[in-house]
Amino acid sequence: MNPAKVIRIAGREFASTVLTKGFIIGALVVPAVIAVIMPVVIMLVESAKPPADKGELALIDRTGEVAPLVAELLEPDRIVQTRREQFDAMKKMAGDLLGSQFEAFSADQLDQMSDEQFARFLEQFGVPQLRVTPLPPDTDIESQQARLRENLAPTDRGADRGLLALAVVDEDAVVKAPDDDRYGAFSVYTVPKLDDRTVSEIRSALRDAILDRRYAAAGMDRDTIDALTTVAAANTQEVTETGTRESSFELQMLIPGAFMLLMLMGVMTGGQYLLTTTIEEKSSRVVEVLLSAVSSVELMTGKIVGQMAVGLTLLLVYNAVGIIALFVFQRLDLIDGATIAWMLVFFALAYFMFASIMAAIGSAVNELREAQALLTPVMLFAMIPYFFFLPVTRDPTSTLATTLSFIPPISPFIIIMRIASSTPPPLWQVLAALLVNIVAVIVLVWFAAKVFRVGLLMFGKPPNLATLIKWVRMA
Amino acid sequence: MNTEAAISLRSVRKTFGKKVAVRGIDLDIPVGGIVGFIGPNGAGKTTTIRMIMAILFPDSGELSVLGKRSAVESKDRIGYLPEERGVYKKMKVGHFLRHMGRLKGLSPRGLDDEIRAWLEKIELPGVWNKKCEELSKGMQQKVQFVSSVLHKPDLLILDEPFSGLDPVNMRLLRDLIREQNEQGTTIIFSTHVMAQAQQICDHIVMIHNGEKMLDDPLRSIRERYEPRAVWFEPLADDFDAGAIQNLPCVESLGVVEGHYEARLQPGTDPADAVATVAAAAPMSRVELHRPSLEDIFIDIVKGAGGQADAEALRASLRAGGADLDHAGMDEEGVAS
Repeated sequence: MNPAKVIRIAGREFASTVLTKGFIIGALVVPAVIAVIMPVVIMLVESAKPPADKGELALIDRTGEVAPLVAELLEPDRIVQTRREQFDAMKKMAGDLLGSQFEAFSADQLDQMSDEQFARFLEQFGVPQLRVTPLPPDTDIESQQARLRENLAPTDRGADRGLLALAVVDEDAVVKAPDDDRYGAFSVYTVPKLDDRTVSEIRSALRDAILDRRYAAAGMDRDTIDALTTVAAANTQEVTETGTRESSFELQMLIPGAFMLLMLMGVMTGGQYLLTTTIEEKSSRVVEVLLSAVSSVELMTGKIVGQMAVGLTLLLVYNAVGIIALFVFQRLDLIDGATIAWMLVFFALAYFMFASIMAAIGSAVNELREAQALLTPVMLFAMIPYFFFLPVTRDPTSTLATTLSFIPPISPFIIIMRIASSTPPPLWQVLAALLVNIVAVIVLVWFAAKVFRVGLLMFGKPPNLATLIKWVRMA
Repeated sequence: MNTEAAISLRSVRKTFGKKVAVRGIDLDIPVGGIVGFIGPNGAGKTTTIRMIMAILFPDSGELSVLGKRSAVESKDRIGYLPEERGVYKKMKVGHFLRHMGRLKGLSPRGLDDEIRAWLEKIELPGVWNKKCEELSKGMQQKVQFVSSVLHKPDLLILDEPFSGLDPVNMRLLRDLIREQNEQGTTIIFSTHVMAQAQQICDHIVMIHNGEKMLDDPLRSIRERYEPRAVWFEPLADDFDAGAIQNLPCVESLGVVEGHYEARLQPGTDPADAVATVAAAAPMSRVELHRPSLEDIFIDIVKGAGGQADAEALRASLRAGGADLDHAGMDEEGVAS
């Protein structure tokens, strides 16, 4: 075999596939756009925090007990604290996947900030700054609504907009009226289109303050009741040989699945292009011209290598997107270099198996339509890793997972899921799978080379499997 | 095995399933020769050529190509224009030729200039940046020819190179083939149109049903197959056909392609026959008709006990022959 010719064929194969609009748009632009857009979207989401509304909240507190606490709860640093608590709770539920945008500041840091820095911080994080103006309990609501109406003209963001909202707490909100078995509530009137998160801060402050006063009126201790009614989300811990670690959904399922899918995508894309270009070369009759310059083995090898580079390009692009995504979410610890290296090794083996079959099919048929019948079993094989995705990722050390690891051509997909899982297989199994796959590659390439040589010059009735085997004997 | 020959085949046999495509052919193609492979469609010419090119492999027998046991070892010294030829449709003409040149082991240095010179030569300057699919079939064929000779091969194999070409381009290609041969390239020219082979080749190999029927220099074939007929056109429409028919040198009289044809008795001296026929009646034209390769082929097939329907075989051989008439290439072997 002449390596220079093989490289030449591979180079043309790669260039003629990768430099087409279809490939650039479909395979490269889309992930590239996602990679660019993802941080932009996150930035936009970050910047779309509630506007730092600045203005007045008029409060008609008919209970006479709630107003001071509402004013306290709506203090900006108190709002910051509440939001932080809420985010911590959310983070716990999401299993640390999101990373932490709030890690950027701590209580200590807040304390050390100058007034000017703190104002900038509030502006940046969109914490509303509301002046609470308590009004006498008998204040006429209509007159205050009229004041709100006067304040409808939009004002620059960041400037004090004057009266933004009016809250009215019912007289029986804290203590029930003697003839009523239900507590009173509160009403909030705002200027139109006040940011809903500012409204939400006002409502939750009012609710919190009313509850606090009710507990006090009933002679109960709020902290005790909170403690009684809260069960902290329990952490699930995995006990391993070296200690314990937090059990993580994404480690168990998502990462192995992602590796398997990436590999399958690279293999099938390269294989599909190989099939198409082989059929094109055969149907356009350019193949015999090529065979005057290179042997059929050189031609097939060059084409397979060229399309492997295509699949690899795709794999690396998507890998890069994945790594950027993990970097953005500060979860680069979820993958390691060894897994990526193994993926490349098993990608090459899986690719050579599928590509050999695709090259053989491509050489045997006259047009893409005829290839469908022969492709069906190949596609079924390609689907098998999907079917076994859940059982393998749930229990990577099961007998099923171990057995499937040694059955080509699905073996590479199964073994990579296991390697990427939280319970990787022992090294001997990986090496044994490697060996089995190398043998399978040799057999399939040999078979494909025979079919390829005969098939390329055969026109007419599309062959079935029996014909292909006859060709192998003939070649 | 004759290692001196450009190509040497010994008892080469090839079957496809139950069909025997080539039945033990022995062949030596001399270096520098221009050899015609002739025979009807399906005779086994292309299969033989593909085996020479190591695109197919014989079931049995031995081959030697340019002194190597397989063309695989000398592909860069061989130019091949297959019958089933194509181009990369979306590729630009210049890039296609560059790709083929590089595959044939040419260095990139000076390659583009060489390609441009060839494009000028085939009267297609300015197509470098055109996609191959934008060219007509004839233009593509000329580009394919360039791809087969770009690397200055020692052996050039052309399988039906004229099919689909217009008369002007047919003449251009014929001149280019001759030019290659004059530069020392051994040429194998395969065609089912015998007249084309007669125009170009100095040696003929006839193949029929996978067997070699004839393998001789054209000159010796001509010498062997003496003229056996006189064609004539009488001056008067009501001439006495019987006077010709009854001449002792005439075996039979008929009309062929608009001429009267007097077939001669075996052993007749052709020069005497022409004189005798001319004297028998007032004539506007009398000429000695040499047998064409087609006639010889039909005779050989018949003589070999072939059951082929001679007229059907003749029709098969003539398919495409009309092109040659349009090209203005008169059949040789016609003596006035």
